[in-house]
Amino acid sequence: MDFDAQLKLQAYLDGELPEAEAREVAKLLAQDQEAVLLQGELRNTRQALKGSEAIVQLPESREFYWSKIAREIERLDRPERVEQKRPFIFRLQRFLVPVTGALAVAIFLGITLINSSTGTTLGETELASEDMGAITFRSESEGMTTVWLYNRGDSELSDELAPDNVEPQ
Amino acid sequence: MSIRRFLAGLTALLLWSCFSAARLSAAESGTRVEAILVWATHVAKTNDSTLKELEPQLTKKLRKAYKWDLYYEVRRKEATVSGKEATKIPISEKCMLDIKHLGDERFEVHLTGKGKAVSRSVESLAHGHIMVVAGDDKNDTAWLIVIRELPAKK
Repeated sequence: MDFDAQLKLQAYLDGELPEAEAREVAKLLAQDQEAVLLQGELRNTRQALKGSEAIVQLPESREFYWSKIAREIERLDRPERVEQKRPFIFRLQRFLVPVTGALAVAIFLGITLINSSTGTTLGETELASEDMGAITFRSESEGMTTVWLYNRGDSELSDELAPDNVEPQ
Repeated sequence: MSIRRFLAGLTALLLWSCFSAARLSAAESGTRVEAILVWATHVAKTNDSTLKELEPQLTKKLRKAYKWDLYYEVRRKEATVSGKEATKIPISEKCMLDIKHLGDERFEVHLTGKGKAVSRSVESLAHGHIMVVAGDDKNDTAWLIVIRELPAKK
């Protein structure tokens, strides 16, 4: 019994053969004792597998599962990227860029600190005495800032702040 | 990052550093500032020779801000102020201004009256912005000290 005949017998058992071929195999089984024995063996094997074969459940859809495998095969087939040798200036750039960035930040902070070393804020007004008050109003449209000084206790006393000889005698 | 971008960034940084240094240097070398003592009133004082009417442009500005109609110039002082130390400007016999240039057209103004410190203010006098330190005076009048930056002498 040759290999093709064995395969046909297997297909016959599985019910996969066209009618004409199936008749031929049936005829063979009627004549060939070896074929009968093989048929019995195959039937037993199929019977045994039916009860013990585990059914694998995929965690994702069938298409996605296979697409992952296809991608992995493509990735492995891809030729490895050859590291090009870059000129020295490009390699130096890797080092210079972060250093220059850090330097720029340091210079910026330094100059900002120098500018603000006096600790002053625009529009701020401080008074020497707690008895006094000041109202500051700033108008960008008029281009003018007024610091109006007054005495908290008695507005009349603010006259004392007046520079001498302002009012004609 | 391409080498061109890197060089452009470096150039910008250098220019900015030079600009900042120039501004600091300008603050240290000195800026001309003017202080005008003004008297604000409702009543005209035509017979007082010591008073003269304030320049119209400034009067217009003050009229918009304050209730008084008439503004007389009592005294006008000019000084060069720097960032190194405060410049003293005697605005009257007993009233003194100490002005210091902080850079970036910011000025620190100390007002002293009768030998005692009164106030300290910080203001920008950029682009013609003026600062007025003021207070009420007798008979519903007011005194004002107008401080402004003058254009640099050529």
